[in-house]
Amino acid sequence: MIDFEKLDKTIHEKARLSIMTLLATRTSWSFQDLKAELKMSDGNLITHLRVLHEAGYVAVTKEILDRPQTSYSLTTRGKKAFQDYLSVLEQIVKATQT
Amino acid sequence: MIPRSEAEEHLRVIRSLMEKATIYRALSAPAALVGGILSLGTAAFLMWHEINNGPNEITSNFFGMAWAVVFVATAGISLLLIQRDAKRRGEPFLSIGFRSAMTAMLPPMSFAALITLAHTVRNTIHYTVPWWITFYGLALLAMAHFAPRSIIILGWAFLVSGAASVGGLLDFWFGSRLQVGDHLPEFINGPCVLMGATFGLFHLVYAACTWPRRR
Repeated sequence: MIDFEKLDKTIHEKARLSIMTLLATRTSWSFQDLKAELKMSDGNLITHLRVLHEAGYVAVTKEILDRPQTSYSLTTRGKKAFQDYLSVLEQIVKATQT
Repeated sequence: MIPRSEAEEHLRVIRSLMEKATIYRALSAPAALVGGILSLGTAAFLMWHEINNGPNEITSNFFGMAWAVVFVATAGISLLLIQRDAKRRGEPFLSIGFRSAMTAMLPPMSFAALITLAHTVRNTIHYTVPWWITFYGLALLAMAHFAPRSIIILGWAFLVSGAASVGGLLDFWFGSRLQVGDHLPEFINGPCVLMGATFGLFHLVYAACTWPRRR
């Protein structure tokens, strides 16, 4: 029996799911790269990243290379939450196939 | 409870984003721009040199050296840009994408190098031009499973031009007939036009089309 309460509501929102997915593909993503890939506005992206950061899923790194840059990466907790979310989705699809 | 369609839609979003994020562009727009300009410039210079100094003035070695400089300069700039991009993304220079690209390109590029070496020894390097175009096209197409569509289109453009040239279909316009032996062409205009049209113009068109998408 699938426990739907396990489905993480923080990740389930489509924009945040997209952010989590991209963060899962690389060690870290700069704000500009995320914005360009997801075609989101600055304000919208910042809001969703803040929610994920407050949930402890995303780590923020600010550094100055040739110019100030903010990078985002998944925390250990974020990686586990994303994997758990994926397995619940897979279970839903499998359960409704049978 | 969420319906199955919603779960499937979310899984589809995850899959498409992951696929998109793993696409690797081994040839950036600025590198293609530099390669295109250098190729066009070199082709024009060699033709101008021959027109002003008479036929047979450009030796096989001179022709080979000129294009070797273009190749090394373009490859060097391309590697520098890849390194800079990797640093910006927080990835190692020898990233999975870079290693996959190099592994895919190795067989056709090795064959091109071998043919070039054989013709260098025979002093008939002009005749390798159709093969350079063909093998470069094959190298680009070897990356098809993780490259963006623009690289695949560029690969096909090179492969079709190279194959047509190897098959002698372009002889009428370019005089680029493939010959084996120690016979040197009287004029090198054909190979130069071919190099300028493919490595020059094709790269410039690629750079123009992909420039807005560079990051």
